[in-house]
Amino acid sequence: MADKTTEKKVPVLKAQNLGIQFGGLKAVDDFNIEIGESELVGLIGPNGAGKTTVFNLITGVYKPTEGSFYLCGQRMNGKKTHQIVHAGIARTFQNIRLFKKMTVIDNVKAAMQEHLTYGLPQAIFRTPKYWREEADITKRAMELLDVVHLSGKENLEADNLPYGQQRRLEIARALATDMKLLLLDEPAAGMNPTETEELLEIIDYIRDTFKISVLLIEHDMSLVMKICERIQVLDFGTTIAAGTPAEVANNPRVIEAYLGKPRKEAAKDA
Amino acid sequence: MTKQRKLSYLLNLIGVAVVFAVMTLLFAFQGFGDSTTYVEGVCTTACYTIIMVASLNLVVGFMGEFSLGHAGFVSVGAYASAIVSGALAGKGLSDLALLIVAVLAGGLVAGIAGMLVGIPALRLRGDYLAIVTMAFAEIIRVVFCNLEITGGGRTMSGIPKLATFHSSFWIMAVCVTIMFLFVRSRFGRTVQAIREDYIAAEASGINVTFYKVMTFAISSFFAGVGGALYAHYMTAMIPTNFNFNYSAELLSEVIIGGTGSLTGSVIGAAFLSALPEFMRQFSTYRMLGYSVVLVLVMLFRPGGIFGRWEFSLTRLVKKIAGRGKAKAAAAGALPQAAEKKGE
Ligand SMILES: Nc1ncnc2c1ncn2[C@@H]1O[C@H](COP(=O)(O)OP(=O)(O)OP(=O)(O)O)[C@@H](O)[C@H]1O
Ligand SMILES: [Mg+2]
Repeated sequence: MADKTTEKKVPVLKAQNLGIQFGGLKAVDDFNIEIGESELVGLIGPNGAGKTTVFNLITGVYKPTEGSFYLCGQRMNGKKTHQIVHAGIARTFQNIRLFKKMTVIDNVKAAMQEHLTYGLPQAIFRTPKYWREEADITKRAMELLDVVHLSGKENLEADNLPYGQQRRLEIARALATDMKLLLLDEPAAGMNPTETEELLEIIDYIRDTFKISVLLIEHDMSLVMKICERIQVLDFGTTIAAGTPAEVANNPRVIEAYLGKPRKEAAKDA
Repeated sequence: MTKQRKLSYLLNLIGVAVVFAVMTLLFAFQGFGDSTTYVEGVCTTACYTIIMVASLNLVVGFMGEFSLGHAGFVSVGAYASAIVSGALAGKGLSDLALLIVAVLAGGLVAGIAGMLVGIPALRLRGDYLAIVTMAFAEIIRVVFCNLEITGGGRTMSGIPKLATFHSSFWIMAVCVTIMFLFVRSRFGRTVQAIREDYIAAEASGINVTFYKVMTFAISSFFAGVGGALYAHYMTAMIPTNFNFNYSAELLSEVIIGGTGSLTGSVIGAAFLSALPEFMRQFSTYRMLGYSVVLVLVMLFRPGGIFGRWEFSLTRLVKKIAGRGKAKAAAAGALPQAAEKKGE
């Protein structure tokens, strides 16, 4: 809170020297990032590099053992996950976590805590406030389902959706929290090219309409190169490169750690 | 839209009233011959058992946590209400007013107990609640066995007989309706989201611990209400009535009826509390019978007989009237209370 001395805009997300240690393993070390308004930043790195751990730190699932992070200048360390969500950070999961046995629309509505203020008595006596708020969130949930191209599926059980649609439902659920920063953990994993294309359109549309910033983890390099404005590369928990897609793609350390060497080395070794 | 809602409320009220009227008439005109009084008693038992089972289903079915000590909260409600009605007896309150005060007191004290148990137990992940509730029920039983005010280990008798079939029926109808409305509100949605995936629930901005404790307290409140009716119907009780067997019985009724279906709890509780009464000669085999049924249900219908299905009178009427059924499902009326209880 104290460090708003610069005249330039306060970044949506700022992480300083963020780190976490599991036993002897430094899963993430000295992680720094700044994400501006409406920016789309990619976070890449080989398996086990610590990308998901960064998300878990920023969303309060893990408590950082070092450093701190700020949302729009507000310090978030030590806050509980739901408080961080209310402050404005929402995420999706690498291995889809939906409310499986609930309907598609209820999945979205469940994330609309902020929109609902009616209390127990109002729920039990079904006051006008209850009906008004429930009608409001139903309408909004339908709009969000439309954004992720899931209109018409609202009454299906989430579990019954095909894989690609489940991923999109997770995005709708994250949007329902009204966040400023959206964290997407490998949203295109397991999707075919058509589905990936559709996903990219959706991400574009979301950024345009909701004016939010996105931090994206993705394994598909071509995808990341195509849509991200900036990319940060992790390897063994440390940042080995950061910059525009072109800069990163030509960085020898990245090529070594992430793109070329492992496969070539493996081939040589064999 | 509002008209449709009102119609749906009216319909359900009529449904409950019809069931009530039929049963009242049957009892008034000796519909069961010599055993009419007896049957009326069984039906009263069924009424408060329904409250206990439905309330346990809030925790087990909707929130997805195991409670092995529901009888503990029932007994807290039973004793608290008996103490209150004992203190207020002869102060000029009508029987019904006294019963309502006692029932609310029983519910409230049990609800507070639920909160106190829930706060430490529900913060933790895993099956801690099962262990903690079981311990709580045991501790409460021992405490009640040693307190003078609760009879000091002897039977606490002379509790005014305030609960009748009539009052029990309506209290049950109100309780089940409230629980149903709870489930069909943002609270029910939240709690079910927690059941499905607490990590995702938290990541969706849900304060998991808060809603868990809240639901558990509400469940305990209704357990206490059931206990209060029990006390004022039985007029005598001993702490060992509320032992582990009783908790296990309630839990098995939830599971047989359907975890996550209040309809299942209502029918399951009514049926299972009536059945052994009609087969008194086999009462030694009651727990055995439960176990067998439980195993069969687990094998063939793991979600319970009704699964998560809910009965809706509005839907039924619309179907019969032959109008669009899709609309009825969306209208989501309050059903439940209209279930038949016992035979
Ligand atoms: N809770 C934990 N306890 C111990 N170690 C952990 C924990 N979470 C993650 N790790 C370790 O931290 C490292 C980084 O894991 P992380 O899941 O962040 O990788 P990732 O970059 O997301 O990889 P992937 O591309 O496979 O998803 C791994 O070595 C992992 O084993
Ligand atoms: Mg990962």
